[in-house]
Amino acid sequence: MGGGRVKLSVKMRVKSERAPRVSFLNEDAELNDYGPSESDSDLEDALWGGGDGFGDNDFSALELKPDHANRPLWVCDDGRIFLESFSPVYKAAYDFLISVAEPVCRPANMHEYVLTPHSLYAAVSVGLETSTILSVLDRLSKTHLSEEIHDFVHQCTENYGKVKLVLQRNKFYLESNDPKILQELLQDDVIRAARVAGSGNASFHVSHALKEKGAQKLVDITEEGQDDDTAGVDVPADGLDAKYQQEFLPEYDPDRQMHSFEIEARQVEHVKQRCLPGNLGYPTLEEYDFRNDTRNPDLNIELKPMTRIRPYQEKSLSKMFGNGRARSGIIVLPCGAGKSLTGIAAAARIRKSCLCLCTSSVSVDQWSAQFKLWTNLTDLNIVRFTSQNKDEFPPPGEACVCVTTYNMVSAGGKRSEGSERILEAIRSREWGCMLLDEVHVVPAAMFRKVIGITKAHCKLGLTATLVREDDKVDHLNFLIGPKLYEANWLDLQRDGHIANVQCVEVWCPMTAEFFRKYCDSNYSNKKQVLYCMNPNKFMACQFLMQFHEQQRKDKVIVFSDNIFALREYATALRRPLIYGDTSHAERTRVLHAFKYSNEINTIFLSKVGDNSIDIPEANVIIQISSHAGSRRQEAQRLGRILRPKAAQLSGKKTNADEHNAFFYSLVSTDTAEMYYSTKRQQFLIQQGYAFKVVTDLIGPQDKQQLMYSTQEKQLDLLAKVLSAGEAEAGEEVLPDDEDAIRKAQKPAGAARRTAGSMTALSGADGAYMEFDAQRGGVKKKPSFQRASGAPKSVKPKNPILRERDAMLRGKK
Amino acid sequence: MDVNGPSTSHARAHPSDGAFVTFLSTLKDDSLDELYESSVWAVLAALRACDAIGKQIVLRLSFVSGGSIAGAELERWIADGDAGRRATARALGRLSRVRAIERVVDGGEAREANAMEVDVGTRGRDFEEDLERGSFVGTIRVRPAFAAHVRRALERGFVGLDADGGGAEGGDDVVELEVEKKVPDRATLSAYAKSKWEDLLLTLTGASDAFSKPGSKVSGRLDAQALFRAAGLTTSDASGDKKARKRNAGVTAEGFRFLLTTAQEQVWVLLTQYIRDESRTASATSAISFLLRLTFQRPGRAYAMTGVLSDTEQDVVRDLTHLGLLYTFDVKKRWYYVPTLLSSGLSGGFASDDGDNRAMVSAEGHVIVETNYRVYAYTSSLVEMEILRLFTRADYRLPNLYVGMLTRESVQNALRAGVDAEQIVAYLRAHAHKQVRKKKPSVPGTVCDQIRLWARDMMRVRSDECVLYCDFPPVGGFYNAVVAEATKRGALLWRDDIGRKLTVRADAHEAMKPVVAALKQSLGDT
Repeated sequence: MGGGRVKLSVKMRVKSERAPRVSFLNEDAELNDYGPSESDSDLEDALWGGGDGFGDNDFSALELKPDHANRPLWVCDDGRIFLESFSPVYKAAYDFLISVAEPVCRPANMHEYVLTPHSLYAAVSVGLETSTILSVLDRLSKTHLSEEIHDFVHQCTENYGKVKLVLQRNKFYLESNDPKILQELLQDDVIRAARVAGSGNASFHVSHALKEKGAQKLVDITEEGQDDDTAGVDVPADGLDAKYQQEFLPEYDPDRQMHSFEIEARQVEHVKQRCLPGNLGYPTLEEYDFRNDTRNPDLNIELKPMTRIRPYQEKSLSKMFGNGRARSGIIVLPCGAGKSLTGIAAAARIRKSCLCLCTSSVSVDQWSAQFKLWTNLTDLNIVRFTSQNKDEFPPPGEACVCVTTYNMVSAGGKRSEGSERILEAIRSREWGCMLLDEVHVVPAAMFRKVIGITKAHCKLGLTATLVREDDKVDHLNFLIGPKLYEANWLDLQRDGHIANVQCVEVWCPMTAEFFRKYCDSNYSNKKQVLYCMNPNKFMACQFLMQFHEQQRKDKVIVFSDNIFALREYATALRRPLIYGDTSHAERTRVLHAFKYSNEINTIFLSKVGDNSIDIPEANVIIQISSHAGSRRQEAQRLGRILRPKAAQLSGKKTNADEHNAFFYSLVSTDTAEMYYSTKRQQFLIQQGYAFKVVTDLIGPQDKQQLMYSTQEKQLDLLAKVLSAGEAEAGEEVLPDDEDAIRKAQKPAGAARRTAGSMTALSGADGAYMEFDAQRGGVKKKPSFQRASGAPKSVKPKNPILRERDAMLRGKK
Repeated sequence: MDVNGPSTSHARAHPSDGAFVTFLSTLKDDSLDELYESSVWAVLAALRACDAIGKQIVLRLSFVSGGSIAGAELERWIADGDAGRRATARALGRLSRVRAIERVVDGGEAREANAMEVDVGTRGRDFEEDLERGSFVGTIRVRPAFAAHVRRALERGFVGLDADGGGAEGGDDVVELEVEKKVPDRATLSAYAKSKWEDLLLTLTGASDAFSKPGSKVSGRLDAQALFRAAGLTTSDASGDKKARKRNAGVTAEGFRFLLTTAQEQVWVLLTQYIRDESRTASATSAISFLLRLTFQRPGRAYAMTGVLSDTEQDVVRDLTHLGLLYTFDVKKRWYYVPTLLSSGLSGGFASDDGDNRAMVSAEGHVIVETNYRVYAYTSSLVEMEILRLFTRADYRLPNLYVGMLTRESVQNALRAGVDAEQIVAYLRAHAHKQVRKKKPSVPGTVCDQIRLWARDMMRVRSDECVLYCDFPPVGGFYNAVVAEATKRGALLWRDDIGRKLTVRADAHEAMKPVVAALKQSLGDT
């Protein structure tokens, strides 16, 4: 790990200006990076960097315990933990480790974790205490824990998770089990001012602390050396709920005391701000005693009796409701593993008004459909707020669920009258619970804004690919809360909760003509479109598509970030496509046709399809172009086909090695794609996925039937590629909700000559959104249209559907 | 005694033969015959190294008068068709390679007798030709000396085959008790052998100098460095002292391959070299037959040296002790030796040749390879770590765990050093931890593929010696004529029509010269 390695004991001072961190998978760059730059690609992965020798990593001096063979893990002085996944106590050890450490890689036999200040903060916040963390770790470890580890854990848990902000009986309290900390906080002017006067100066409320049953369970399990989990058995929701009502009712622990003082509701935000690291350094944990909240009306929500909650969903909920209150935090589950159900189950337990924020209007529709599917709620209780749908709010005295996008809430500028009214309703309400979908895509500035606007007592973030310890997670940790649970992909796959995917990287050699142009510096701006349009890649795509459509009757999604390639492929292969400019109505139509018709078995998607478009039918992905080295995009795309397949759901025991979904990544050899491809796969590889490399996909006899198999046609294609306009040949920049979010993050930085960057420059993002959605409507503003700078050649409509429309018109 | 040169020994080996059979087949015919003549142990060791069918054939024929059988008759022993015939041919081939049997063609004359100087590599090959022909021709005969020893051993029930008896028995009880006490238990013995052998391998890589100074620990004449050099495992750079030497400096490609093979193979590579050296100083036959006798002695049991073994044999014992194959101690100035498990694997049978499950050092697999290219090895052995470091990037070291990473760089470094991709894969498979051994494949397929792809990556650029032809006149057909000529001869490697340059294969240059001159002449004239 070279010189870059941080010696924990020295640099990991918790009280420092910013929360200290081990430099991690730097997904930060990736977030910024949804443009053509390659900024993340050059960052060396500190976690995987290796040295020439062991250097600092020689821990052979650690003393093995005599019965080390029976213990499942090693703990290194630098916080790295190795866990044998074949140990009999694996499940218990996993549950414990995931609460105290950050997973680095989790393949089949040996997992690696690392203790970080953030992970320990999360551990403390779910109720684990310093001494417990150390003793359980020591019990599980093959070696004796070193002094460094002791010091590190002590340092990290010293401040974090010690102060809670509790909403109880409609009053806010700052709570801590150490009165000294409260005294220290009161030295601060802001906090002193926020304290509700009249309760005396010196004394605090003293009560008994709550029992941390969730945490206790973790410790117990590791003690017994086996887990009593009903793994694999789905618990019916009603039965489960009853169990929870009983098990997770708040219960006071007679042995521990809790000190608290009340603060004024209006000052809550300021107090929280003051407590953040950088100010006072005691970040507050938010807990919501929802059972005793009588001020806010109850939402009459019940999970339907047929709703089944899977063991890992239950586990994540048990972390959230560990002491009978609802705590804020983030739950990380793979795509397709039922994140929405987890969120909905949490909302159903809290039974208060719920604000659900998603990334795009398509997923708004999907969330509201999910609410209706799993619970007894109807359209009457669910308010959708998008640029297309502005449902009316029920009267303030009545609880409801509101589903909207981050953009709709946070957009600045002048808003339409209808939006303004709904926004006002959102602002004025007190939300019992706020669900934040795909938290990883949303930058901190936007979060601040959203959280500033809305008043929510419990925030639950959901994601599949949590951006790790970078600046953004820093913010997530404190803006939302710590990571509460993270499921292991391989375990879920083994238990049949997600599909068993075969990942394949197909090598497509560049044809000589294409490669010559690729190397030619005159065409340096065409490099991407050249390797996307490589005729060998086209043939591979056609071959795979036909194979899966005809031989296996699969549903195929083809992804391309390059819009020129997307359109060329889709047109040549005569399949529908969806990209940024496709209207909402048309998207819905195409997706519907893909889901329910046997006629359309393949759709072409640009990166609008990366996140949260739920297409459970699809089980094959062919990726022809992607966004540079983005690991998250790769994982998100894989997520499109992770939903368990019919055979798995029907309870049939399928062969564990049998693949029922396929993920193909087509790569032009000897181009930048090779490098990106390796990088992109890293996240999934660390989750235990293996990418099989196929070098010769198409046999000579198959080749003849494919398009562009003759040199003549290949040259025609090349001419077409080279004559394409620059903007046209570039990567898509989405003028969509989701992308506007990303753009907002780097407003002036990118002087790219692509569609949409003008909106970012002009700061017209949010406003543009609304007007765009009503294109052709009354509010059309020509100036904005021009500002969006969409190239003339980009035809907004899907050619296939346009053709069909033309035919229909002809009939009339 | 004469043995074939070191570098050719592996080339001659039949691919399916183990180290021991290979060793025997590299001996010259008369040396091998002399060995069988003089030592019953050599005969038994050779027999033990054969597969079941081979053993069966020898045992049956040994009791037939004349020890021979007609090929057609032998054919009738084969029960199960083609597969059986193939197996029989293979067994006969092997027996023939170790000169246990010979073929007598019409006229009663042994076939090999006609060609005493026949290349040893071709021994036994004709049985595979038989297979193609469809029948075994001629008469197959067990060599008389071989048959006689087999008969004697069987008749005596393998007891008292040596004139001197062997073993520690025969002494008085007090001494015997004393000896018993001094014999280390199995675990200690095993640890002793393992540490000795590891020291030896570490000396090879330069990580240890335990063997650098001859005679520093045990009184032995054996110079390990010289042995490595002679076996072609290291070059002379490796002999410097430890501080001056860099890791793995001077280790040859052969040496890296040696490190990745099984302990059993390694023992034989070094021993054949040892015998080769020995043959210059003393009677090799006696040394070999003693070695082979050792392989029949029980590990962990004491055998007397003083007064029983000849001087040559005692020297051999000292050298082998130095290598860790034997353990020696004395009781009242009488020396005893105890064979370790290392020596017991020496002439192990056919079955153990393909895997090393029986070999001592890696009796248990310790390596887990994950799909993310991580390599975890449950080991605290320096040698095992050194070997893994050949092709992995070392990341973490724990008391009983090595953590490394297969990276493009680390693997290609190993490939450059002379190890090939298949060997890396084979090593990882052979040492797979019991946890992953349950699964098939024990090493993830994607990882194996990737190692091979990395290897293939290095071979994408080929270099050819060539000659550049340039400075052609800017007009006229001279350039095109030369290009056409070079193309015709298949010598054209590259051309640049705009710059009027071409390259021609270097070996075709001489032939091209007059042609170019002639072309220049004719075109210049016009």
